[in-house]
Amino acid sequence: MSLSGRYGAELLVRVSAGRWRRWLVGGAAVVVLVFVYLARGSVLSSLGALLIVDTVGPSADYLVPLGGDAETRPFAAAKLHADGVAPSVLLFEYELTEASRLGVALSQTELYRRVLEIQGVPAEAIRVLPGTVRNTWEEAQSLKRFLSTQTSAGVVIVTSSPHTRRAYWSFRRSLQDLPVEIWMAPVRRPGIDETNWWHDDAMTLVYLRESFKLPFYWVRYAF
Amino acid sequence: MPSSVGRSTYVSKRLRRWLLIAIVACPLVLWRPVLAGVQGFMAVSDPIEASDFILPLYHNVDAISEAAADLYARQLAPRLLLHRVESSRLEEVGLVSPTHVSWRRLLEARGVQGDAIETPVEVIRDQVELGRWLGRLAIESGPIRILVVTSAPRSRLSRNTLSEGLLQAATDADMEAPPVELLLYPVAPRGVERSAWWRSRLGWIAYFDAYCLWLIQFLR
Repeated sequence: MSLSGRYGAELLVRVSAGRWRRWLVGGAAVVVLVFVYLARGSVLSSLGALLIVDTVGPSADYLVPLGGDAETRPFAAAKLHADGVAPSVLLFEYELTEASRLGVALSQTELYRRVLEIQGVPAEAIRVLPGTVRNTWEEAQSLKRFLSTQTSAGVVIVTSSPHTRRAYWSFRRSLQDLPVEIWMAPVRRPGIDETNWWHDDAMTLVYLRESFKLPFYWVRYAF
Repeated sequence: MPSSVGRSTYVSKRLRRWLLIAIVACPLVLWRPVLAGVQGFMAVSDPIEASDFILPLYHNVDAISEAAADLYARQLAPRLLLHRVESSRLEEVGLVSPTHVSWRRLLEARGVQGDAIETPVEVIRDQVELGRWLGRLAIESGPIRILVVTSAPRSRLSRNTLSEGLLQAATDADMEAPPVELLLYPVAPRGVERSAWWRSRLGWIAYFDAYCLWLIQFLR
């Protein structure tokens, strides 16, 4: 059937306008993609920086290294202790692995304690909070129980840099009813930080994981 | 009466609407097979046969050491191969033993005889290098079959990286393929149900990590 008359002309204009709109949207998408690709270093750096909270500064009462990375976090806590940032270190109790149950490996809590002592933190300055914890949220709840008996306190949370945003949110949310000030001390691995994380597979995985865990925490623990 | 152009636009709109409904409805109805498929793609396994070595990969200490010791107890291989990795900061301050020593202790505690565990002297940085080392071993000593005990979510990645190393060894020796047969034995990480991995937080993390690593390797 041939197109003729007013109806056909209108239809032709509408079809051609729709095609132009599709071309424009497609073109814009290509331009955006090309721009993101060319500026990928800056884009990925900015995305990495969004996950990091760095507020350590004034002296506090407690240093709180979070579990999950005995290679860096207790070492950083010991350094902050030596720098006079806080006089005490609080540790959490973690679930035992089978290797530690069989006596062939130290438990994570014991490992943290030994690192701190070897790095010069006196044994009497280290305190282990009671109750087993499994994740960041449970660590925040454990600290809340401990601090609920105190009139006021300042805590420095020591954790890996991409984990700081989620940890800060969890601790702020858990301790919101208490007179507690929270500062964050991000720990960076030598040679890898928010400006180059995508060059290393393991670090890329950590940043990606945190990008998903953060919104998950917002949804899971917001109410 | 609508023209043929009008009718085709109407049909395509209808088709698009149905497609959208189907896309939304599919995961709602088929979520279980879809999630099983997510696991099935990453967890590759081979039929188990008597082998020369059991090679536990250092993914999930508890589950993999238990499975390796179990395969040894079932006499599926007379020897276990451990490998040295780069030393960690905790090792340097004397708080933990080298990884292969910890694994040896753990395997012995699970009933593996000490003299059945072999550890080559080379320090191996990643799985490609491990595959390359296995390839060289087979080229020097003759055909070998190895039971690779790996974490289920990482088994596809393990096969890819080990195979890449084997091919590199073959290329170095001007061969088409090294005389190594790898049999993958995937083990569910502790706390993750193999047939219902989505029920645990650890399961989500394990498969998320595996897919991300797979994608990263593909893009690199």
